[in-house]
Amino acid sequence: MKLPSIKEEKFAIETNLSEEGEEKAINIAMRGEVNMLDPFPVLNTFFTQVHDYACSSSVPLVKVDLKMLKFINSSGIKVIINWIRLMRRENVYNIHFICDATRTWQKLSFSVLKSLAMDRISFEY
Amino acid sequence: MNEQEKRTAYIELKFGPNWDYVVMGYSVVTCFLSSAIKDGVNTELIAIAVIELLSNAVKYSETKDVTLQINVTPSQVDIKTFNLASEENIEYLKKEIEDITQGTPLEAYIRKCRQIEREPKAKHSLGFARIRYESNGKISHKIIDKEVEVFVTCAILRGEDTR
Repeated sequence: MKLPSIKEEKFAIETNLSEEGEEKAINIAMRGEVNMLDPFPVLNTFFTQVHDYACSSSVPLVKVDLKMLKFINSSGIKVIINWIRLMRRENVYNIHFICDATRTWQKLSFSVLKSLAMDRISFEY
Repeated sequence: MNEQEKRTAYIELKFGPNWDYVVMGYSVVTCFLSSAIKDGVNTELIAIAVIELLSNAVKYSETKDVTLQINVTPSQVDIKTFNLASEENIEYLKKEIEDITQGTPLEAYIRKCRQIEREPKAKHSLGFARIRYESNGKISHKIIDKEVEVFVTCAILRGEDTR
């Protein structure tokens, strides 16, 4: 099973797997602007594949780097909420968001996502 | 002095019917607000509010033509969208705005996120809750027959004001 990636005109998502000591993590880096009318088909496929990979390979942590993400519309945030729903069902991995401290919207919106799974979602900025 | 005289910058855009033009609109709106708002610390949040409002109007517009107006005064930004909508979408809009104006902006945003998480296949909009929470926008609407106007007012934060 391979980790997915996305390369669209306005945004891209890259992934890799890292191992520090015995700690494996999937690293996701989002960049650009997610402002399509309906990002669900593209993003949901991506996050579902990440979820399947994390579960089948027993990866305990998925880190999402948002520092290069200039904008994501509310339809895109809904897809991430859907991913959190998948994550909560399986109890295999946690999610850690890395936000850009200069983008207040990231701090505001992504910190709220923590309320969906208090002990399994963390963030830094 | 009335609001018209206090207005320091103004833009009106008409979009349609292609979603691509709305995407381009984000750059136009962001540039406009950056030059129109001096020393604002929440300009980016207000720009996001504009694009969420516009996106919502385009998505639910019956004719896919939407008019956007932005008025900037020294203390606030007044945003308005105008479009035609079906009866079903009008009822949906009224229900959504009523729902997200209950409680504090944070409570409404969390409630919406939880609704979406619990009912992924249901039609839940996060845009209005996001406008209210991130930019502290005040949202209202006016509907006459099939004509829908949605208004958002965002205070401009400066200097030591923080979010």
